[in-house]
Amino acid sequence: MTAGMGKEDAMEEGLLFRAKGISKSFPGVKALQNVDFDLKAGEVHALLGENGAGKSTFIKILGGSYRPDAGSIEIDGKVVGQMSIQSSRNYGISVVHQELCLAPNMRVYENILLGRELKRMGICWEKEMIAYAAQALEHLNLKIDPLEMTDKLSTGKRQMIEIAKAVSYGARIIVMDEPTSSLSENEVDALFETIYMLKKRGVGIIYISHRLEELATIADRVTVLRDGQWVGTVNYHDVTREEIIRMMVGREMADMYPSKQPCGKEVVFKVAGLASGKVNDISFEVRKGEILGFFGLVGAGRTELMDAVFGVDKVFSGTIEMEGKQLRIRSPRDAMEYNIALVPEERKRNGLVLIQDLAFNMSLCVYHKLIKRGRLDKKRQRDMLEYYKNKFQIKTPSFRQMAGNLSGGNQQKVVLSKELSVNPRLLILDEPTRGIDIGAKAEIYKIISGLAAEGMSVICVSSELPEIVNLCHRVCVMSDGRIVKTIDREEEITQERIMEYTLGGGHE
Amino acid sequence: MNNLKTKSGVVNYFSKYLGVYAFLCIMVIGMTMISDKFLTVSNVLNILRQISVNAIIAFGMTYCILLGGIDLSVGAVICVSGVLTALMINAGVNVYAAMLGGILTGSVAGMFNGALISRTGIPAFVVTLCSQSICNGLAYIITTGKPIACNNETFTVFGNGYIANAIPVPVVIMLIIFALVLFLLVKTTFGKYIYAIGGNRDCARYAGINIERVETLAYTLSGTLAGVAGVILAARMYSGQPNAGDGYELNAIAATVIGGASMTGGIGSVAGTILGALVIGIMNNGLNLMKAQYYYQTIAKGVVILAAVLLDTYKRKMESRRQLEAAARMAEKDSGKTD
Repeated sequence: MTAGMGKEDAMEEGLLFRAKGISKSFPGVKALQNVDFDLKAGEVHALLGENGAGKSTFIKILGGSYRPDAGSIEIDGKVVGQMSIQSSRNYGISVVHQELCLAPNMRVYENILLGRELKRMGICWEKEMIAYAAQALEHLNLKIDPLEMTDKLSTGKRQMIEIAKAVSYGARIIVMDEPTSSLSENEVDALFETIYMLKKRGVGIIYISHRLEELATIADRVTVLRDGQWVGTVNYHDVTREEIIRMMVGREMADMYPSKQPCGKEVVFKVAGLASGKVNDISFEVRKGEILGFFGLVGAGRTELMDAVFGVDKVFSGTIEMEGKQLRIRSPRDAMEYNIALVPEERKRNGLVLIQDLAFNMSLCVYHKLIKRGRLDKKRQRDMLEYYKNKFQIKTPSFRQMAGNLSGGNQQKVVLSKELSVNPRLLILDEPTRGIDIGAKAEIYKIISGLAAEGMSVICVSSELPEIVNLCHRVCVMSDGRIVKTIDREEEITQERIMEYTLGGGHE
Repeated sequence: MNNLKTKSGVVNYFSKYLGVYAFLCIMVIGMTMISDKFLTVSNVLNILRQISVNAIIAFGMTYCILLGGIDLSVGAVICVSGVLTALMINAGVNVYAAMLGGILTGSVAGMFNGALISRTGIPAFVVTLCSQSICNGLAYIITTGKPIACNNETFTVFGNGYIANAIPVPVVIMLIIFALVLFLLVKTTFGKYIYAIGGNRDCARYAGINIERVETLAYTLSGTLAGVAGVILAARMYSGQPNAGDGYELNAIAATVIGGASMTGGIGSVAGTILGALVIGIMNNGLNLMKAQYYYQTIAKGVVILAAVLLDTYKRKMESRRQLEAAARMAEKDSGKTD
């Protein structure tokens, strides 16, 4: 049993930090339930889990932005009370976020000393500040000019500045949230070198990552979270990669996805030679009742392709056909007239008016049909709302609830209802399950495969491989604005195959 | 079952504008106690006439603010439309045609604003600040800086006349326009789209809404209403004056904000704005009756706006918390069932 190991280790010397029984709930979601975690000096402790496992909630509690509902936090063996962003920093905790918090319009030294400028009688002493920043950078062997403008630096260098800043604060606990997600290989090596140096100086590092490969190089211990619950803490070198994956994925994986239904033969939707500048030379077809997956790394152009198909972005060349008829799509309104619907990538940014209620959001695409000569057909609207509420099991106290005050899963169901209200024959889903918990994910999968079984053609864009593998009939792999491979045979749709094509890129 | 509307329309309406109504009640009761002249028919009609020009502009302003924008040009547009109308009448143009001309001047200015804002992406604040400056200059050039007297009675009746010997004509015009803009905002897709764009522009785009058209129309409406206000004001003053509308845009913004609109867009209604205009009108009238200096009125206005916005923010926070708790309770019940 792996579960006991973390507790024994915790008794050892040099314990920097320990969290016990941390719980935190949000409307409709239990983000963390009874989570334990500890960190020793000079250790890299990786925190793993799928999207929605509760990693980011945990970090936000560490950083003082969230208050836990229950549980205690000890630092240097002393129990600390409620933490604020300020007090968390005073305890020596520093979080290096995925999206870096540097002002791009300021110089490096200004960023390093932002908020604690060296002053004498209220006047900033530029010379001392520059010297201080230079020393902080030197301390980590970083070759960065403190006078450089921040936006001139690469992402990797900016990350180093964040780390230098954290260390110069006297941080002894540094949280790194997916630090390698946007780094090149050389930059990753430089980052790991810095991490080794920090370890030697007795700094504890909480390292959050999706990439199991890189843990082999740096991780001492690993804690896995799943659905907000603590699954286990293990010494990295005592377990195999497969064991860690099993801990992350858990047993429910098998019943998360409904079984694939056979799809029709006739081609409903066809794109040939499409180019929008952001994506080029795109050809694919979707059959009746088929779920066509689009996979690719960030920046591969999947969202841009869907925006082009849906008329959000301008198309320069190529043809789009629906049931043999050529379409002219110049705006989303045109696309909707042709019975195409798009569930956009970021529901809070593109899918919902958060300050309006459910009734408004769900009617938004069909208001021009519901309102005739200034009269809203209330019965028709209510019928529609009730229909989708029952069909998708939307859990809301009332239709007057503001969209912003719902859980992610229910929000996504509202966006789905909104898009389905135009009676699409082709439904495009862009990252349909991002940021929602596992239970709601399974529901969304059931909805998607149900719609396909009814004969709707579906395009599903996703960066989660299991989702693509278990849901889609065929898969298009994208890289650098092009489709590099279309996998037609269902038995060839495996995580390994898809990754191969993704990384192979244009070298094929 | 019928949880789309849990409260009746009337109750809903009053709870939505609770803050403004509280203010109105306090002020009306206070003023009635202080001055016995306050709650007389003639004084009430007087207040309504005083607010009519501001309310008409504020309706248009509400549309712009709902979009997340603003229209700073309305004060200057008032000057241009008033001056032009007076000039045309003096030149012998048919009075109604001249008035229509004045109003259309406003429409053109508004369309100019709207087209620029929606198509170039320059912030509304900047665009309308520029057109304010341009219109100000035009008004002075047209008049060479002097007021243009106009005593044509068919014209001045629109500022000073009464209907049925009791209700001032501007008040009637204000009420007709109010009915119109309320209908547009609440009952038509145009209104729904205004809320959608102000609430989340990207979402509106993905929902297939023609943002450029809706935005251009809204600013055109604001300009048109400023044109109407300019004509009424010129009629009321028996002259077109190049500085008649100075500062009116700020009063219109004040009325809109007191009426519950959010400056970031998406929240508010002309139904609140007319109450906001009323609050400002009653306050000014009351202070006049108390013979307070003008400067006290400006201080009072500042305090009232702040208090109204504070109350609104607080109310919204409470409502949001109530909804979050309801959602949490539901989730709790739900997980209890499955466990």
